[in-house]
Parts: sequence; structure tokens; C-alpha cells
Amino acid sequence: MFDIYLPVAEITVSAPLYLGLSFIVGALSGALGVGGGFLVTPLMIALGMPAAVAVGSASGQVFAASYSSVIAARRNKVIDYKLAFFMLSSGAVGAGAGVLLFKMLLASGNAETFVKLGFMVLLFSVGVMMLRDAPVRSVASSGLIPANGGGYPGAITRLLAKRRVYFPRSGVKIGVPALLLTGGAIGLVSGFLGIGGGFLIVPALIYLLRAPLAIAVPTSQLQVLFLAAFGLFSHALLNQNVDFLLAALLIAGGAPGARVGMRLAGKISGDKLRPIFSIVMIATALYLFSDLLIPFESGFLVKEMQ
Amino acid sequence: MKRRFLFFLCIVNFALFSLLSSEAAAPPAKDHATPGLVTGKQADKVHLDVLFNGGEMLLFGFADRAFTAKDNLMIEVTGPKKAPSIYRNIYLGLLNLKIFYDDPKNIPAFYGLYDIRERIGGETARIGYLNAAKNLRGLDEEARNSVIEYLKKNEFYQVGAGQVRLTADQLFQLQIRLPESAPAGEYEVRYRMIVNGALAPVQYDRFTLEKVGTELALSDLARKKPLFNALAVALCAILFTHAFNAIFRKI
Repeated sequence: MFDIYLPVAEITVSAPLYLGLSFIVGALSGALGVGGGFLVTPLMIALGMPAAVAVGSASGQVFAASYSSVIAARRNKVIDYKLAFFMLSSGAVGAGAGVLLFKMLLASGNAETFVKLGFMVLLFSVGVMMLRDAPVRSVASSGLIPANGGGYPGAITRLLAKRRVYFPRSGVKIGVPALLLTGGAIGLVSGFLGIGGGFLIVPALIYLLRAPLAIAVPTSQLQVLFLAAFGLFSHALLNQNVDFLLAALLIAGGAPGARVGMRLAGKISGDKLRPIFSIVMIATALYLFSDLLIPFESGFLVKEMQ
Repeated sequence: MKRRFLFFLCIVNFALFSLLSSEAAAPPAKDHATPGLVTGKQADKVHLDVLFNGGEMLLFGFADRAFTAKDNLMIEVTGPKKAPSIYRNIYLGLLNLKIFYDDPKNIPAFYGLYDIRERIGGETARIGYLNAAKNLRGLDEEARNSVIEYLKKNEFYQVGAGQVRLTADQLFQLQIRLPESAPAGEYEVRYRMIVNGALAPVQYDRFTLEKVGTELALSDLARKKPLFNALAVALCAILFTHAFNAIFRKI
């Protein structure tokens, strides 16, 4: 009952299941201030959605989630536009390369394997990091950002010190090559996996580029918004794998979920939600890992007919 | 010369006599004639819309004489032709990778073979397999089996031994299930009557599975106007966000 046929994915899915899934992911991400694309896409793949359509359509949900956050951040004037612009200029190139890489792997039949592998690595590492929690919380609670790049290997320290530009709103001086490289790498992952990359941008801004947390989170939301939009348009134009109905289902479930999550965040501390979120991530990563290990039934694989 | 001519005439006469006598000895043609079939179907078109969860098509018909225990009717349904991509699976450590192998063109994306009773010797399945494999010539056997397995798994390949039901002595019907991902396009139906092991002339019919309404519009939007599709998704995201913000502000 309430099953709908998706015109691009060409499969029938349960509408309440997808609404529920996006609502829960939206609530968790709203409570923790992340987009949620990195969770909704692998969960859809685990439910049997073709990886190509899951990656393309999830960008719509990420776009919606970050749009809501950007409106709020804009009102509070906590976005560092200059910093976002520098990172986005290379991020767009990276995202374009990510979408092209996805297209190449799709043509070779290996997109699903590499998407699963990418998500497995990301979900597992971020899940474990969140479970241990130490780095993000210690920086967040202390509010102290080290002024220099001490503690990094020499090459990174040199890169951070090269051609430094001052960002008045963040109050930091950052090397432009380091900014561009970080933006490009995050864009590549974002375009390839169809995620906003907020959970990569925030740690990169805080730990690598030394931006203050209060500025890093909203600035990352602006970047996520643009990267998700770029990913959405690129996937639609290059791969034609954006399913409007699926995206609408994810948005319809995710948008109220995010609002509920934001309200929950005020009542339940992030410390209580974070373990749930990280366990879901680790479980999804382990599922994807087990899926990659399943031996082939035959020596050949037949893909959908064109 | 004259003797040779007479000998030739004798042979011709003998041949004619043999032919005529065999005709005379043959049982009356009417008793063993192939029944003529009048066939019909539930509808000319099956609509594929957003609520499509697989469809069904009822094929039925009438024979101008009663079916006997030795008669069989095979109904073959062939869907639109497509090109599947076949990859060879390889292992690279823990990773399962694929290498492009072939994309045979013009493979019927749906193939079904159904009959009244499993053909003498239980051959329906074998005939179905051979017919389905006919279009996969050039592939090695394992690749061919993989395509047929793929078709079977998705219900695109069906062998329905004994699925054609006789509702009366002269009436038959067949209900076909078209899977949810059945390809849109034209489906050809062939009725093959088998009398005393011999195949009678084939009778043809057609029906169409077509995308309609929202399904058609959205699928066209994604494939033919991808820019507008992305814009529509972005607009939907903006509208939903504002709508829910407004609702939650009031709650």
C-alpha cells in the first residue's frame, strides 16, 4: 500500500518507508547540525535503490537541509562569505571532477562498488570519530583555536603558511593553496558521492584551517548548499539520474524531520544523540562492507537494459 | 526412343495414381483440421503511471472446434527490444570489480512462453530457453545464462507450463503478469497451435505498455530536459523548506 513507481529509478518503492527514513535522518541531522546526505544515500542503496539514482537524487535533500540552515545563519550574520568563496571556487571544480569520475565509473559498471566503498570508509571513520567524540567537543567547548599550524607535518605547515590571506570575520590568516586544495578535495568527494560534505568541511575548517567553530559551522552550510546545488545540476545534466519523485519524497520527509531535530536539540543534549547517530553510521558502514564481500553468483553481471 | 517415352509415361501414371490413392485413403480433413482461433485481449494498452506496481494482461480466445487431449496451444509474448550491458566479474583483493564484456543489442526485454499443458516430453521450458537464447548468439554460454538469469530474476523471462487455462471445450485464457519494471513499448503475442505434434500457422496480436500522466512527464523531464528537472527539484526544496518553516513557526 502507498507504493509509488519512480520514473527514473524505474522501481516501485514504499512511500511511507522513504518518508520515514528521510524524516529520521532529517531529525538526527537537524539535531546535530549536519546535512544528512552521507547517511540517507547509503541507506537508500542498502534498501535496493540503484546507486546512480540514490546519489543523484540525494543532492536535492541535502540542498533542502542546508538551505534551511543558511537562512537561519544569514539572519544571525555568522557566515564568512570570503572564506566560503575561496573554498567554493575550487570546490566547484572538485565537484565537477567528482561527477565526471562517477560518470566514468558508471560506464565501466563499477560506480556502485566505489560508491559503497567510499561511503563505507567515510561512515566508519566519522562514526568512530563521533563515538569517541573527543576532538570536536574539546574544541567546541574550549572555543580555543590554535593560532599557528603547529603539530602538522612540515609540508602541510608550509602549505598553510604560503600566500596567506586574512579573513576578518573568522579572524584567521590562511594560506590560499591550502584553502583551495581542501575545497577541491571536499568538492570531489561531494560530487562523487552526492553529499554536501558538511561533516568534512567543519573538521577541515576547524582543525586544518583553524577557523573558529562559531563561524565554521554556518560557513560550511553555505558551502554545502552550493556544492549540493552544483552536484544536483551536474548529476541531472551529465548522468540524468535525478528522480524528481524520489527527491520530493526525501525533501518532504527530511524538511520537517530537520525542524523536529532542531527542537530536539534544545531538549536533548548532543552528547546523548551523538552515540545513536554514530552507531547508525557504523552499522551502515559494516552493512556496506559485508555487501562488498558477497561473492558473485556467476562470472558475469548483467546491468539494466538501455 | 518410343520405348523410353512409354516408360516415362508409365512412371508418371504410377506417381499420379499413388498420389490420388493416398489422398483417397486419408481420413476426412475436417476431423483433424487445425482449429481456427479467434483471439482477444483485455485492453490494447497497459498504462504505466506513478501508482504502477506491476500490471496484468488477460489474453483469451475461442477455437472453432473443441480442444482434444493431444492439442496444445503455446502463447509467446515478446517485449520491446533493448541492449543489456554485460560485465565480467573479477576479484581484486576484497573488491568485486566489473570489466565491460558486451552489450548485445535487440534482446527482447520481456519474453514469456505459456501453454495449455506442458508439451509432450516436458519441453516448454527448453523451447522457452532456446527462443530466449536465440538472440544471444555470439556470447559464451555462461554470459548467455547470466542474461537469462537476470531476465528471470526480474520476471522479464517467464515460462508458464500449463498456464493457459481452458475455461470450456473451446475457450482458453491466459493471465500474464507484467513486472513493475516491465519496459514500456510494444509487446507482440504469438499464438501457436500444435495439433498431432505439428505446428499450425501462427496468429499474431499486439498490446502496448506505455508511460502516461505524471510518470511520462517526469521521466521525459529527467531524460530530455535535465536542466528543468534539476531546477524543479531545487524549487521543490525551497518551497518545502519555506512551507515547513512557516508551519513550525506557528506550532
